[in-house]
Amino acid sequence: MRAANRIVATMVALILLAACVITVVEIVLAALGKSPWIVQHVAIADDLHQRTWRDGWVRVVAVGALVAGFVLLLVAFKRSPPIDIALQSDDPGVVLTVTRKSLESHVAGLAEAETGVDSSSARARQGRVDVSASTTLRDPGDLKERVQRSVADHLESLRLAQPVKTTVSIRSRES
Amino acid sequence: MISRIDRANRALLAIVGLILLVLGALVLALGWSVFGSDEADGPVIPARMTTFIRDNPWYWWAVAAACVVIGLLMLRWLVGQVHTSRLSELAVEPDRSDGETVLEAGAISDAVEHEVETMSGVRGASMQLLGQRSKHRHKLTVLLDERADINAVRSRLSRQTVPNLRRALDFDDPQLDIRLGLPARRRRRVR
Repeated sequence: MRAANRIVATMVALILLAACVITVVEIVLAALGKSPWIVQHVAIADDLHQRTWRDGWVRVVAVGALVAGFVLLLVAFKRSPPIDIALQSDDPGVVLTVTRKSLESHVAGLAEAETGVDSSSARARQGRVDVSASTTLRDPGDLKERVQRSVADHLESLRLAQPVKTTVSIRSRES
Repeated sequence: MISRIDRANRALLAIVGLILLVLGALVLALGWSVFGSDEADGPVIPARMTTFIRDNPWYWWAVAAACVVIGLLMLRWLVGQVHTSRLSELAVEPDRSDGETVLEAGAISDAVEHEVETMSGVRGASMQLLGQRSKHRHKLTVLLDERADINAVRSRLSRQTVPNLRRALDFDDPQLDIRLGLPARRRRRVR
């Protein structure tokens, strides 16, 4: 989401910058009595004198602004997963973290090391780690508890700064 | 951890989004006669506005000035997207009244990276110096391999690397951010 945030921010900044440059150039050209550069402002002003607020095109533009505003707010307020997860540090001058992606892949690997797990994936969020594993065993038995114990024990040994809740889901599939 | 530019992006996108949302809603409300039928049937640019602009020649210059300010802010915003706070050198002495001693950032980074890479279980290390010359922060990324005892590496980093860095910089409190990259565990297959 951070990449999307930066791409949208760059696009918005470029559009607003271009709009500002064009407006200033058009104002200067009009003051000098020269013909417009890009925007035929006289024709546009004449057109807007004729159109009312009920006009279809005016409503289309308003809906466009509404949708664009909503999308920008969505991008601005969407919570991104953390890039790093804090670990306990014994030194106040040292901030110790583990990258979220490496933690997820590490935890997925831990789950896959359990006998009976065919494949697995993990998602780490602030305060929780969700592990999803699949097995070809007809009867998984205590597989869920084993994976849960292995992951929870390992996370405890990592000494994360905040305690995390581990949830495990096992999906059975036919081989 | 969210960087300053990401925070600024969120704030500015929220401001622009809110302005567009309010303007769009206002225009739709006008068209749906929320403010009366007379307003809804009135022109988008009313005659009184044309008269006002004609009678006040400063109006367009005020618009141009506002555009220059907004344009400069947008330029600053764009530069911020690609700007990094990476340092190439740093001041060793906090008190610069008797001159200044600077240290190449690469020299410190190379020494720390070399020290960390010799630790058992470490696949690679990279260090960056961020911030300003007099107030800086060190960001050390350590990639661990499958043999790594994570807590042993942590312990060596805090007992060896951090004190060495403090001694080298003759600084009591360099802020150090250590990011560990855990290994993907070797996948065991039992069929």
